[in-house]
Amino acid sequence: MSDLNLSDPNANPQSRMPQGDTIVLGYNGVFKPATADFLLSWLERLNNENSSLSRIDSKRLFRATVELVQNLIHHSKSTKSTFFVSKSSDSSVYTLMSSNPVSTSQASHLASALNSIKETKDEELRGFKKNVLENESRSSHGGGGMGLLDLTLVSNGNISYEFLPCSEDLLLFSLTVKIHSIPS
Amino acid sequence: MENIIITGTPKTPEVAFLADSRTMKLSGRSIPENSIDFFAPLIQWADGLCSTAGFVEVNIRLEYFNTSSSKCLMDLLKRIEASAADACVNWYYEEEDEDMLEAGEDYDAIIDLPFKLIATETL
Repeated sequence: MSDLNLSDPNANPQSRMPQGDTIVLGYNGVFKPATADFLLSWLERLNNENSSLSRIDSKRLFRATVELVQNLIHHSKSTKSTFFVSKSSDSSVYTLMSSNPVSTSQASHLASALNSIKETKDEELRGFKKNVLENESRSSHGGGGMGLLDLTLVSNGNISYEFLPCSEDLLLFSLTVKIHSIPS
Repeated sequence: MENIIITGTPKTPEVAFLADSRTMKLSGRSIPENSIDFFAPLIQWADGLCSTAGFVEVNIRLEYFNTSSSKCLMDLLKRIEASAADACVNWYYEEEDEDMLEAGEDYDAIIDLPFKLIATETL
């Protein structure tokens, strides 16, 4: 597989960070279990030091990070990928963005799954997840395709994606999840 | 039948599966990259315990679990549900954590076992 050209602003998701945001955590490289351990422990430390975030918001941020980073471990294989977390100037919104190269057939599968989730009404999402939990067969690593659904629920539907050209045979799949903190 | 006692780690839960008291407890967090590897021996153990009739108590006190673990938990509970055992499930969640309460409600709706949802100040 071709490497990403991260100097290309189209292929660099960090360049599309929301205006005014500050990056609190970021990594670009090959994702391995040790990478996840490092990123998650770093995030926990930040959460513990950041008293403005409620316990529940911290948990949601952590949960979404787990799913996004583990998706990168399972699906990006040995190609370089990117993950970062940024926060808005008033700390009310955390933006998590992951991006990794995918083949055109993977892109088609992902778009179909995400559109299907997007088309599901908010009040039906939980039932959709329950149905997947009960009935769908699992993937090789155990999740059974629930990750995207869970990310949609944890972000209250604030999930978006895009595919950007990054090489002849690959597209860059960029997934953005926003966690809005609950006013205390 | 031997007990299974596993110390928790930042990614895997503390496990106390005790044959004598016929209790199974999972606590902490369950976010391994591959939950099947972690849960397979636990499910096998539960199959053995629940092959004989009698009361079995399942205590789940998880702070976090990833989607991979959620399928494994479902497998564990479905096997217990289908067994000869007279089982009940205690699902603990932090009192403000609606997400974990909803997760417990979802399992309760799917699994036909007595299910108690128990709010606690801390897990």
